[in-house]
Amino acid sequence: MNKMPRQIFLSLLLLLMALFTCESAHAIPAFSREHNTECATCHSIFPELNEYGDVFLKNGFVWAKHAKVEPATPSAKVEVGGEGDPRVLEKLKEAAAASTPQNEAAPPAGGVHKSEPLWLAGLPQTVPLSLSATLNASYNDDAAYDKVDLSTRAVSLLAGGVFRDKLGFFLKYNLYAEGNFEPAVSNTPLNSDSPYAKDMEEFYLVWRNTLGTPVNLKAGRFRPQLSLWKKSNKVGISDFATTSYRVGNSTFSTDSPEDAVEASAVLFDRLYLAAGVVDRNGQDRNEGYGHLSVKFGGSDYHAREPEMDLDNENIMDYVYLVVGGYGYTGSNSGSLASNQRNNFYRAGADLDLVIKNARLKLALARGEDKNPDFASHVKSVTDVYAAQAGYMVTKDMVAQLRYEYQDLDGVITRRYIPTMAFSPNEIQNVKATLEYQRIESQGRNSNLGLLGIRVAF
Amino acid sequence: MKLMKTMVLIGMLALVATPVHAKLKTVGKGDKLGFDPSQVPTDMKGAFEIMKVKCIQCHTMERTVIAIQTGIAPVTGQPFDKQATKAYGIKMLRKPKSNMTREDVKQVVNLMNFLIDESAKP
Repeated sequence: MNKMPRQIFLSLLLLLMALFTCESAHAIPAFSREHNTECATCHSIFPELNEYGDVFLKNGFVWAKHAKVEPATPSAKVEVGGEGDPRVLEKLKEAAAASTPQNEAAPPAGGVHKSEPLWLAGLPQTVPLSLSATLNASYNDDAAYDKVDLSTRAVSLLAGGVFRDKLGFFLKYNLYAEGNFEPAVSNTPLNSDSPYAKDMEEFYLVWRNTLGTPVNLKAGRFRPQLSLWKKSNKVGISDFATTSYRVGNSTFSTDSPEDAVEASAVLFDRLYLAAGVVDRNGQDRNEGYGHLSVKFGGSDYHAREPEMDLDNENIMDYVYLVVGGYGYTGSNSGSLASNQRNNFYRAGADLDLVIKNARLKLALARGEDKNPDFASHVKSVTDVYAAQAGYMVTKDMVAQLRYEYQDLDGVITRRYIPTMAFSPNEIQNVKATLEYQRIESQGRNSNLGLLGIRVAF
Repeated sequence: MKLMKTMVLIGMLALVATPVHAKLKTVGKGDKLGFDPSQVPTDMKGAFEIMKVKCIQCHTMERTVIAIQTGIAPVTGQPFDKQATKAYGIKMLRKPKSNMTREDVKQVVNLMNFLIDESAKP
């Protein structure tokens, strides 16, 4: 055997060994890859967050730290020097190195998959990119020509992570979107219509624990912290009416992404506060908002588990309740050049009750728009209520029923929305959702059936 | 002959490079990594069976082995000591559809505490 083939053979052998000794890749989105954990760590059925996912989000994409990882060896400084037996000196040097106290400048502990050079550079350990895509099949009873429709509804590029536990980031860019959230117009409801379609929906940075305080400072384009549930924090397809409704020609809804700066903090372990200012094109004064929520029972906002007596059964151990309230005041217009302003406010309250496998969400919102058509200055008042009961039928299947009531200047709209969502435990990044919407308004009924298959990878 | 020597050398290097945790006996590799049942005392065999069947419904046993061997929870990087085992037990008990009872959690927490002690032995 000449030298060349032997080298090739050895290279192949080494390559094969490397392949068989490398760990398999986990083809799931950015946070899962970075933290080497499954979707179910943070989601009930994605993208709905469980209480640990909620803490992760509130904490700027870092796991809550309960205690410092202390070194096993004493941290007292050992001076090593002088002359003597070189073997003894070497041992002393080793002991001194081992007793160096851990501090925040040290690489993350326990990171069997962590790369020190990446950590030193402040980079995430994995490329923090993901894609999310939805295939949608719908049946619209109201459609004039095309009752059944099969389409790809949206494809989004997602990125998220944190630089050295100091600066969190999140990005959502809609690569493709279609449709219109109006059953009488289109069969393909859209989760981000104009002006957010095919655009940067969110990109923000979070300065965690700003200047050593419990405050996280967020800046960029994002959905202001108002409701307990962010727009994407849901199992079903349709959004809650309390946060998604719009009035007249105004494009504002409570769950719209905005250019904003927001400060938030967890206080007393169970109180969450957020407040921010929004800069909108065409406005000459900033908009402001605030949010407050309190959690009773369950783990706290640092993900610390409650004390529990393991010898005695108590149903309250499986219960937690979150109540929250918010307010938003703002002003918008139809175009940059227009002098026609619409001054508006939104106020709302939410309740999230979880009892083991069951979950109840209640939401109410009131809004007032002084000039929603940007012309007539006729005031509009809206009251919206929503109640949703859900039950985890199996570990990977949720059944929900939602009722919504909307009163827009005396025009009443009622919606009945049963939903089934299934995300197999073996492939947690795939979800099938079956949703039916019955909408009753002004004596006219609309029926829409949706089957959505969403993948994130 | 030279090729054979090289292959033997590579093989020996691969064996040496494989991580070994002598204190706590384990079986399998990677996703299949688990605790060696021979080190589990008779009165904890029941708990070991619960752990083998119920814990792996949501995560691999590898995660538990790493946590106990290193003293650090692999996902969060937080200490995995006897205080943490109870907190994790409560977390799993409260998790919807975890299919864990209080008695299951109590037994598994005791077993993990035993394994932590075993792992700490010199």
